[in-house]
Amino acid sequence: MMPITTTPMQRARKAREALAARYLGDPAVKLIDLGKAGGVIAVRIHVDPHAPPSARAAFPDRVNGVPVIVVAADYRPE
Amino acid sequence: MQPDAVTMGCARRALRKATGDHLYDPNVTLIDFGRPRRGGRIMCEELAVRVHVRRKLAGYALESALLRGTTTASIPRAIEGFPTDVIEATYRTHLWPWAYAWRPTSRNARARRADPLRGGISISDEYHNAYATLGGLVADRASGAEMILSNWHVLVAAWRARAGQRIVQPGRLDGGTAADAVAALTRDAMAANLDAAVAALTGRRELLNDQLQLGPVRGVGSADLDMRTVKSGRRTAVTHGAVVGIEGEAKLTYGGIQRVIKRVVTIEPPAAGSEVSAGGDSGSWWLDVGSRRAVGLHFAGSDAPETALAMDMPAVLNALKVAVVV
Repeated sequence: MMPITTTPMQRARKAREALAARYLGDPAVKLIDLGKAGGVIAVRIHVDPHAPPSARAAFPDRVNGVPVIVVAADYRPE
Repeated sequence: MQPDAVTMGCARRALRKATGDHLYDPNVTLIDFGRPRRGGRIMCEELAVRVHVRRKLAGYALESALLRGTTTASIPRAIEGFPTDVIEATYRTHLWPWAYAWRPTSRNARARRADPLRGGISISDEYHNAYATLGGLVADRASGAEMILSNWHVLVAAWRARAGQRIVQPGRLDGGTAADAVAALTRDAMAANLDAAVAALTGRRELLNDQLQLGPVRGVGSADLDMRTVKSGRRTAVTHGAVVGIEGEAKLTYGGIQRVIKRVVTIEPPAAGSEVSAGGDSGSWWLDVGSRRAVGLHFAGSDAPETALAMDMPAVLNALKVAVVV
């Protein structure tokens, strides 16, 4: 398992923070984290699967070059 | 003096009303008709509808229990003209002539009373009819006091809970009672946006550094993407996962209040169709498969897609000012 270089990770963190500040208050958004998309570090926005499709269209595709992907999921304490 | 037939007829009507209103209250164990007790004496000249409860509740404790659902109503002072007498008592079948308090033995080792204690077994707070997972052994950084680390929603479980609240093993839904208390709630990290808490061991039973079916925890670390992890939990036992998300912020609802939980690690099953976690696994510790270092404290999940959520273990330990005992 190769560690991700710090520069892309730092960019990704900033992108995640910006997106969390902008979208975490959206009722349809359940989680915003960092993951991988196509082997590249990306910001993942997890959206309520029952939210209308228009809710997903509101997110940017990239932030400062960092890909943004949308995941449909809802979570509850276990 | 024995009650006459008319009185007994009225008493039966009162009993029907009492059982209809209160027998299915989780706090009620028996309803009958008899002589009330006052000041430890049986009042031989009086009659009452007697409501036997697991725990007498009044004032704040009653209000709290009503909110939590551990009782559904307060007992009225009188029912159909008969005074009520509330008796604190719990009853068990007497199939075995043992002095030790008997309860059915679960086939699931994680659901049974354990001595010594270890990670991966059933616990709950003393009020909720639930079970979750005893995560593992930590120690207070200042005093060295040994503690259980698990979730806020497992050890605290309600916004009105107070320090000192008892933690029972096994959890109440697995048959645990007040006699099974092993720890007392000490502090939590919800103010730091972490669903985590610790409870100080009472010393009645030892807690080992051992995860059931996995062995000891060998340290602490943060999860990296693609890391292979494993956990031992009350509900789904030993499951494996791969870290697919880190540094997350999630919104979940606790007792009707939405909270943001930070430092979230997302874990998915290594193979499609397999299970990674389920309700009752909260409090489990996710370990790096290779190093057996604790990297996440499990607290939530999703069935579709099958996903587990944990919190970064170093962040949890720092917020609670405890250290894993290895």
